[in-house]
Amino acid sequence: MRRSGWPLLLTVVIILAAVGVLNVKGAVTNPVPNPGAAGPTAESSALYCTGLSNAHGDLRGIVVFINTTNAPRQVLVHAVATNAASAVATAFTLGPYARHVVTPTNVLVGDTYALAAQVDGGGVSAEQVVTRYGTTAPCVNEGVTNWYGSGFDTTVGSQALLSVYNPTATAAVFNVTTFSPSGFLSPAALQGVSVGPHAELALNLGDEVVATQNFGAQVTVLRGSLVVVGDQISKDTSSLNYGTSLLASTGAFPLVTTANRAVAEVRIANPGAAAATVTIRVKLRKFNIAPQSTVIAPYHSAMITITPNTAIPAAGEASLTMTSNQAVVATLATGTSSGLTLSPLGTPVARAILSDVTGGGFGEATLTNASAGTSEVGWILLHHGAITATGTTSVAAGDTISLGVLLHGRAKLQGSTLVMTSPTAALVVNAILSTSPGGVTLASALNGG
Amino acid sequence: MESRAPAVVAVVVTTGPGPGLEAALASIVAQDYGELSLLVVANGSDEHVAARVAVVAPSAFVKILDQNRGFAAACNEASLMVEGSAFFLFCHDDVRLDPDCVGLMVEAAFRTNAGVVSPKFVNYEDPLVLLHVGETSDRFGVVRDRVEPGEIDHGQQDLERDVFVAPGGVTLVRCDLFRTLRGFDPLIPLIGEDLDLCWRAQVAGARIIVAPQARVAHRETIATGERAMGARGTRHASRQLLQRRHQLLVVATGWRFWRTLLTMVELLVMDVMEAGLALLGRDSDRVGAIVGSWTWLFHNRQRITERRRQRRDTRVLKDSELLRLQDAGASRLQRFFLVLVREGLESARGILPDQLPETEGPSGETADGVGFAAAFAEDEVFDEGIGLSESRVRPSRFLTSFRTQALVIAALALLWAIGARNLVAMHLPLIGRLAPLDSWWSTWRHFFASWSPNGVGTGAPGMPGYGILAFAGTFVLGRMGILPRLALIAAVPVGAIGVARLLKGRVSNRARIVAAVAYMALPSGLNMIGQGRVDVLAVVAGLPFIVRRVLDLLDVPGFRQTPYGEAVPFGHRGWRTTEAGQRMSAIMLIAFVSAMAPATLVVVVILIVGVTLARALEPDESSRATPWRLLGSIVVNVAIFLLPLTIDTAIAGRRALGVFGTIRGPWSVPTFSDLLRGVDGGFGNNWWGWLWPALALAALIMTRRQRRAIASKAAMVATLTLLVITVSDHHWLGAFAPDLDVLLVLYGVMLAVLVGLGVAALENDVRSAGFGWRQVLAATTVVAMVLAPLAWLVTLGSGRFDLPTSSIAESLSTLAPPTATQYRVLWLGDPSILPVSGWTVAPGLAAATSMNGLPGGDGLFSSPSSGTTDTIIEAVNTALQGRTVNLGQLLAPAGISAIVVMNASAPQLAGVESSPVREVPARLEPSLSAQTDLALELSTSTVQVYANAEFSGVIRERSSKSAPWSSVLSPITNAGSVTGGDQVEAGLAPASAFSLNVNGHALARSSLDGWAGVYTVPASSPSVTATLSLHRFPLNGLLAFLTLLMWSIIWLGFGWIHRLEWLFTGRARRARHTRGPRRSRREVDNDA
Repeated sequence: MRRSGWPLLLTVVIILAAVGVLNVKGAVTNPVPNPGAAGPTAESSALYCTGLSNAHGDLRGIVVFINTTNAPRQVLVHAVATNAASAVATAFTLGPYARHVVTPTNVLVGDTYALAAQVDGGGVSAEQVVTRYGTTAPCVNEGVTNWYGSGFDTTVGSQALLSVYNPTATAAVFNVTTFSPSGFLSPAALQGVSVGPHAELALNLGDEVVATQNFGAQVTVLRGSLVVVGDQISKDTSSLNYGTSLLASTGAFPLVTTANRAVAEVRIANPGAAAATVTIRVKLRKFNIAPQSTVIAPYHSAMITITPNTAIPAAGEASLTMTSNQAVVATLATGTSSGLTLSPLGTPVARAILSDVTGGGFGEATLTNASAGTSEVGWILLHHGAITATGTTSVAAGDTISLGVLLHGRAKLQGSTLVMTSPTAALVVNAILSTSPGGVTLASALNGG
Repeated sequence: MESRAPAVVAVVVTTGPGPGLEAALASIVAQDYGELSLLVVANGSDEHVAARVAVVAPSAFVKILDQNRGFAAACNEASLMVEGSAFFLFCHDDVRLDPDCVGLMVEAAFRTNAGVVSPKFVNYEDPLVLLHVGETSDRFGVVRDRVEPGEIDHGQQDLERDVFVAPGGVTLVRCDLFRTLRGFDPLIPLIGEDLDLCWRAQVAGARIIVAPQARVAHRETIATGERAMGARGTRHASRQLLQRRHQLLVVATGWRFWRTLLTMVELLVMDVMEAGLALLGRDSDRVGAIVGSWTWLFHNRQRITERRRQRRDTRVLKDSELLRLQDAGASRLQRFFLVLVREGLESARGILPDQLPETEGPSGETADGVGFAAAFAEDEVFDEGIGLSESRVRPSRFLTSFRTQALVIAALALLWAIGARNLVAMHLPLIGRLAPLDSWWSTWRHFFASWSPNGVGTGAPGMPGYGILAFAGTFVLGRMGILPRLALIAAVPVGAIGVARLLKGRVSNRARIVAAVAYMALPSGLNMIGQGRVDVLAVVAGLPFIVRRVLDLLDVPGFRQTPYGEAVPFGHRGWRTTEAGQRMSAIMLIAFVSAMAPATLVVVVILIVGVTLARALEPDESSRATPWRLLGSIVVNVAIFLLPLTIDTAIAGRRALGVFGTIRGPWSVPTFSDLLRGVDGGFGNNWWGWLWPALALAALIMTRRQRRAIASKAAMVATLTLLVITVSDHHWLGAFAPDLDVLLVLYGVMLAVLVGLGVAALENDVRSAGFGWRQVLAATTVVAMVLAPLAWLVTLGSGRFDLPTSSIAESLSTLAPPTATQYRVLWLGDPSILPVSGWTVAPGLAAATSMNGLPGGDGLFSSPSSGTTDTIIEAVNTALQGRTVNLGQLLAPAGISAIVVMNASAPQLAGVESSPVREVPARLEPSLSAQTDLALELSTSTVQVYANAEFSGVIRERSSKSAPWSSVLSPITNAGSVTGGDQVEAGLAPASAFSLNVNGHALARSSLDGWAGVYTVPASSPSVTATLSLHRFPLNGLLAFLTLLMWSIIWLGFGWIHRLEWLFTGRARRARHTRGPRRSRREVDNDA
């Protein structure tokens, strides 16, 4: 019996079509680096902190280690500093859910400090706190090859430095480029800068970018990887600008002060080759506020003033949403006429930790779901080495909830550590310290380490 | 007695001094049909006609017309003069009828109820030569004869049958039909009126038949040039113009509206094409005829509209019914493309109407045959040219003679030698599987070894690949360095020979050569040369032979044309020709290649499944093969033949499927378009690469009969191969990820087979098919076949098929640590990039180690069972997941001094050399950078080297738990001095296979890291000499020996036992056994 050739041809065509669809639909790109390193299940982890300084402004402070697991951790800390004779090591055991404070100035005598801690497991995070002002910056688990910061100020009375630590066993080399309202600058002195293995370096940006109120910086690592923090001394205030390794075209600042006598500015740098149109939408209670926009030329910087702004009433904390047609780096500068602190745009993470290391509590704290879908967030509240509360909550896409409401009382955050987890990298935590005027100092959430 | 026969009026139209008029009249007068009247119409005034008629046929009527208005008008005029007759017999004046001709035609008309009857026409001078036995037409009005020119009449056409056109000369037409049709169309003075009349008769529902018993000799005076055209309205028109415009008229009035519109558009397109070609050839006559015909049609549009209206009244047949009576396709275009394919453009242009030579003698091969109006028409090409030209096309002589084929093969060999010239002596880079082989003796030792250094060491049985290499090394007298060169140079040509053998007996030699060229030019083999994949090249060389044998066993039509030999005892001559022997031959071949590339077994499975599936969709007429049984037999027997590998696989647990290949990064596997082109590398990754799959597709469409049976299976196998590649490369089959490149070789073989079948289809199937898209496809195919190998020529330029001259591995100078005697290097990268075989860590990341520097001949094959090496793999995986910052410390017990991360096997030097870049998982690099005990020593776009700060040697000692380790023992003798009281750790697995002897006494062994042996040296003396030695029962050696023995026995079973019998018995051999079917079973039993 002879059959037609069509069934076979049809089968071949169908299989080929299936192959084509599978190839197109199933195309896999090389996955991006995993940012959630050093989770609780890690066998060993490392934490790197840099930025505290004994020499510039009043950036003395402490480093707080927080164990978010129920197992003790052995921590070996190596401290280095510029102008110090040698590194110093110190070890301690971090009990379950415990916190431990290391004061670099007590360990080592030098100018600008960096700490490298090795932990015999995961689930340990660390935060450095500028003692006098309560400004904070998280310690990180690994170096980066690209770093961006914005909002630096080198006008009279202000000073901007880059604190650079090389966490690897290999010498690192990097370039620094700055973006100011008058354009970009690649100072010769900041090109091909070398940092030795496990060494610390402090660069004074004011030497190259003179008397500029708002400029951004980009650190491009040519070899190795680095931990970078920007030290901003602004008149009477100092802060640690820990920057970001990724540019963003959207983002949110949920807690921005509009109080009288307060100052709040969004300082933006555009490191790209195309002009960026940045729009800030302000949500403030029931006020209907027109979006604030600015166009930033390529390799330039600009800022949008939120407070004082005649278009924005002074009515508590506003929620800002930034959108841009180009990826930019944005930093919120808050404070008063006597000085501003810098807080970079939060990056969504799957595990966020908010710890009241100063013991003064928070003026407000929020949790934002930055993903496109509803996120189930599990949380545990730690206090004095024990779990005091646990729970889960559902946060809709784009929504911001108050952590005070979540915990039935903001006071529960005082002196405590709140660990929040979600299945995807969707969480952005913001908090402001209890200050007067309110909301001028932001606290940073840890990066989930 | 009153005659009951119907009256017939013979109308003979003559013009001028027709040389055969008297003979024609005489033959009509001599008819034995009683009711026949004769009317002679003198077309144009000629006073001598009456006298000439009177001499021969005194009773005939003669009608003299004033002017020559053409044959059609003359017949129409005559029909008006006749009343009461039943039939008209329209005759030319140069015919000679057999005496019973009219009677037979009338009889046929009554018997079949036909409206038009045509006799059999034979040559006037030689009645044994046939001229016409009816004609057919396509929907464009192109007429084709049903006999070959010069065809001898053996009675082969003497079957009464329906035809579409009754060719002019002598035509019997029923009078009522003729009147219903309103006679001939006066718009057609000559050329084409017979077609027009018959077309309208068919549409009116009348049958047209040929009555071959009625024979007419036709002189064809117009066709031979004896007379010129002279009808009114034709004096200033060429025959070509008349032919074309009448063709247009027939088509324009022959169909209903929409069919007419469609056909006219198609005709216009073809005419435009033809005009274009004519313009290229400066053929102004043809261009003029084409333009003139359409212009004529336009000027006569009103008359044509009127005719369409008239013909609507008589229409009975639907267009679809009429189409069924005609030839399919477009005959003229068919001829054009056939001749274009076979003889080139000039000839193709020439066969188009009126480009044929106008005088080619009277043999019947002339372009100027005789049409219905022989007395007036001067060109019959319109009617017969197509048929004539088809048979006049000479079969292509390109690549058909032995001399040309030998020349082409020699040229191919020469070209390949040019293309591979630099492979003969160049330094082979350390890429792919080009690691320098160990000596012949060492290679045998790898096969028999109880321990091999892969990973951190393993006691798994030696891989059969080493046995194959060592066996092959015997033939090159132990010069092992020759083997990889031989593979690089000869694998593809050997595979091409295999493809040619695969198609032997199934297609012509020409097709086999083209298929072999295709295989040589396909990217699947060339890319493997460029990537140094010697293992895959073994498949490239051997797979065509395997495919042939498997298809043979599967009883695919066209294969195994002789039955298997009758059963012969194992070991006797002739056993090889039995079914069991043939199966065993195939199995041994599969096992041989699988030893080098185990994925070959997967390829065989795909082959069998593909054939079975194709057979389910297009059943073969007779096949007794049992595919699943064969498949089981192959798998089981190959597993036995590769016993060491089978045992390795069995103990590998979850890694067992890794024997077929390690998982590549889904982001670096070929895209869909690459897969279709069979590309996994630099060659073929351009538009040229599409030509081969396009040719294969064309072949699948064009092939018929037995070729189709093979092509369908090849297509199904190729398609299944792509499916398996896609599914496995996206990691949807888990750990089962057969080597993509091996699968692509199967795809390449199938493409080459299809290309060969495509040539065969051009030679056979296209020629026999009616014209249509196949011919267009055929022409395109030929063009592609010419173009495709040209791209291959480009690949010959480098003289090494772009095999890099240097490798990344060799360029690394920092691998040796400053303070250690022995060390390991950990290689990380995509498995297709690494210069040494390893194990999967994660998709796109494989890990392998080398001892004391670069990989060598002992790293070509690795057991699928990773064994203790899992500690390394797990450590890397932990780092990859960001769960450790102490990778160096985790790797230190294995003595790993450096980690090399590769994204390519060779440096990327723009314009000089390149190799595929296949990136490791993107999170690997940051993960390694985050390790506190790894120092980045070197970083380029394609490689990173990390030094392990925790490294302290493969065999190391320390004085206390807090003291640092230091390297001890010589790497050559594994002996050296150690300090009493110290701990010595040996990073060699399995630890149980080793013992540390101090002063002749073995020390007790413990473990610190779970796998590495730790020995505590007695504190009795400060410094003693220690020796680390291997103690294992040689089970692996016995297993290897057993395997070799098995291979030898089976090989001897192919008849060598019988042949060598005299060596052992001292007796002369028995009488020579006959082979195969010639030998009866009883004889065999008796011999046994």
